Amino acid sequence: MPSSEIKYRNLVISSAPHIHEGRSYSGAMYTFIIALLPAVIFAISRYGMDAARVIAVSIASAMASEYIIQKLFRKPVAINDGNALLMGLLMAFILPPSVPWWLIVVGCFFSILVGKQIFGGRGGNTFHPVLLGWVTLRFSWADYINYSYGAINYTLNFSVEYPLHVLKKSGAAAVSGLNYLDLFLGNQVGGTGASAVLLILIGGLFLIARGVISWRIPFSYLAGVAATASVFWLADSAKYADPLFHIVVGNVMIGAFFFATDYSSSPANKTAMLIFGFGCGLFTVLFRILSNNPNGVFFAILFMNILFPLLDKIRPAVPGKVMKEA
Amino acid sequence: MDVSLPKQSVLLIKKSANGEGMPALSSGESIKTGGKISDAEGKLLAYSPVTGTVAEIYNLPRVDGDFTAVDVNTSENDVWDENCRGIDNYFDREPGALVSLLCDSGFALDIRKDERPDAVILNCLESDLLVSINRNVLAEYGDTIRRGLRLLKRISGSDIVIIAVPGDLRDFAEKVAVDGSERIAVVDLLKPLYPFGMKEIIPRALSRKGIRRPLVITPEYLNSIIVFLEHGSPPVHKFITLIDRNNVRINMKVRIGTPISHILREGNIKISELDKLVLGGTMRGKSSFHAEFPVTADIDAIMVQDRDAVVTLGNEACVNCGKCIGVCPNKLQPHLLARYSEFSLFERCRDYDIDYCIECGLCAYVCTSRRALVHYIVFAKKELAKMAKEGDHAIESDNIGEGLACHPVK
Repeated sequence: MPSSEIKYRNLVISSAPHIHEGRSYSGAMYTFIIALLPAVIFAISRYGMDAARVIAVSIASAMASEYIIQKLFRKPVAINDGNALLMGLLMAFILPPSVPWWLIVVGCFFSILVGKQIFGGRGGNTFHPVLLGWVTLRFSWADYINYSYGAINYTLNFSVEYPLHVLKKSGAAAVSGLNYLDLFLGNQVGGTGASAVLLILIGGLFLIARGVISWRIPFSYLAGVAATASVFWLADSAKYADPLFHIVVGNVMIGAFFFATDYSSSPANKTAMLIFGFGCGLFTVLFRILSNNPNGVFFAILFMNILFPLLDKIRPAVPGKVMKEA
Repeated sequence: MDVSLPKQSVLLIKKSANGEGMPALSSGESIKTGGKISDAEGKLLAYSPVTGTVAEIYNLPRVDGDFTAVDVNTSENDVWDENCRGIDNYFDREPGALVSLLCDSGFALDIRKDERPDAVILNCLESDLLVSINRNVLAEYGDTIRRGLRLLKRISGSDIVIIAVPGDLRDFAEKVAVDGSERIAVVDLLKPLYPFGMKEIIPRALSRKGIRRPLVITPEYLNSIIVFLEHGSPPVHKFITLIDRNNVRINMKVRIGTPISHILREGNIKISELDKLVLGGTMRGKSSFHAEFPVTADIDAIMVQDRDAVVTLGNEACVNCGKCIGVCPNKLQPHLLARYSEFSLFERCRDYDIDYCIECGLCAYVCTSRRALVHYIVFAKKELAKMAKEGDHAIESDNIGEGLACHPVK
């Protein structure tokens, strides 16, 4: 029958495919958060209400910043996608538990404004937003976020000095007495949640098992740290710490599994992911050893964030194309 | 299940880019099954799948282009067209002549003299998810397909004939592969995974490697070639899978030209507002805005999706998670292609090999941001084609295979 006589029934029209595997961006974000929950419990049980305070202030200020900035920029408000919540949680994880509340607010505001929204919001950030916020704090109020100073007021059953500070000040001999298993289990001074190395690793493996992140970046990161540290250690084991030490201290685990794997600031191609992760590991150790700043993880990731669009140009050949040109 | 002949049947003829494709028919004229339908200049457009009288001729746009529709009031008893005659001893004809005869009759057979195929692959994997017609096709047309394989072996000049088949159809394939005491084809069991059933992918899924220029053909298409050679007109029936909103499937044998509304009635499926009607399977099917389209030879399935099951793919920002790259069978960069397309940078799409996209839909299926990736890519392809046409004012070469309702280019 001619189209004028056809009975239209308001059917839905769309392009193929007509099914979806069912995952979503906010689902991925909440999976990240679930992966961090064991470390949240660990942090609160160790540092008590101080940790709870840092985490609560951080999440609240990140989400409030997101809301205010999206309103100001006249963008649709999307704070329920979980990204701001995750950013707040990650910020809390890398700050010491004693950090003042206003510092967290400033850090989170900078993270969301400069790190995320200035670049265009979700998916646009070239750098990890939280790390940009952290850099702001690092250069403005370095003493407040110093892990060793932050732990002074707590009675802990292990050294209250940040292992990397010890390494920088006193050399490899001073840290050779440390029990690595102890450090791995979280008995070390560091970020509020980031020092729970084992739980962070379990969370990261959970993310890989859920298919939220690829194994390529975290494992090549750890390989990069191990390889670079090995080179120094084999050259002069009295002067440089061994690779295992470099892996279990100072945010390497959270950096590898939670910061380097940020979707928008890491490559999407498989080979590029491996190079990106290895590069992060390489620069982590180089910064630790060759600069006068004992920390290396965050600067290394930020540095590789600059390189990632270039790395993403490394893409596989199209099979059909090879066939035709051959 | 056989679907009864509808009272009114629709013959769909694809219009070419310059508006041709108008059949030289008028209302009230009677047509016979297997009869040729030509335009005013005598160019072959289609073969009639039914006997009856022409009721009306009008334009009918489908999602994939503009068509001329011919409504035919069907008569119960089929009368075959008297001009419809097979070709005697077609098997002994010179291969080149046979290929050009088939091409002139609307078949798309990619056999060129200078570049002969190095293998013939009978692709018995389903074209899409939830489609399951090949069991019926192999069971019913086994003998014809065997003759078809012999013919293809001869005219392609290739010794390698492979029947690619999922494990559960092995017995059917073995029957087709052996002619008396002579084995004409090897059977290769493949996992029934999507998108192995696409002709671009299947050579890579085979256990035999190194096939560079295969001739890939589906069993139903091969059957229609042989039926055409033996009877003078292609088959008038088509197997389809009818998929209801609970994903329950019924295989049906349908007369080509049967309106989908008639099939839904026979299959006892009601369709209501905001449901989705898909011509094809879940990954590549084209949604339709009403149920009066007829079954054509390129439709393997009809799917009704419930309004609650409809997924919305939109234009949320890409977050660069890389999942689309991981699943792309051609190792393309769907996220970049879609972004370039979104911001009208179509030339950049070409730099990223957009022409090698086979539109399998896997990228959009896994997309974290639920972007309509395939939609963007198809859009960019069309814009690029338009730009190429405007650029050099080239006269579009007429692909004769496109014009025939009974013979889509597969």
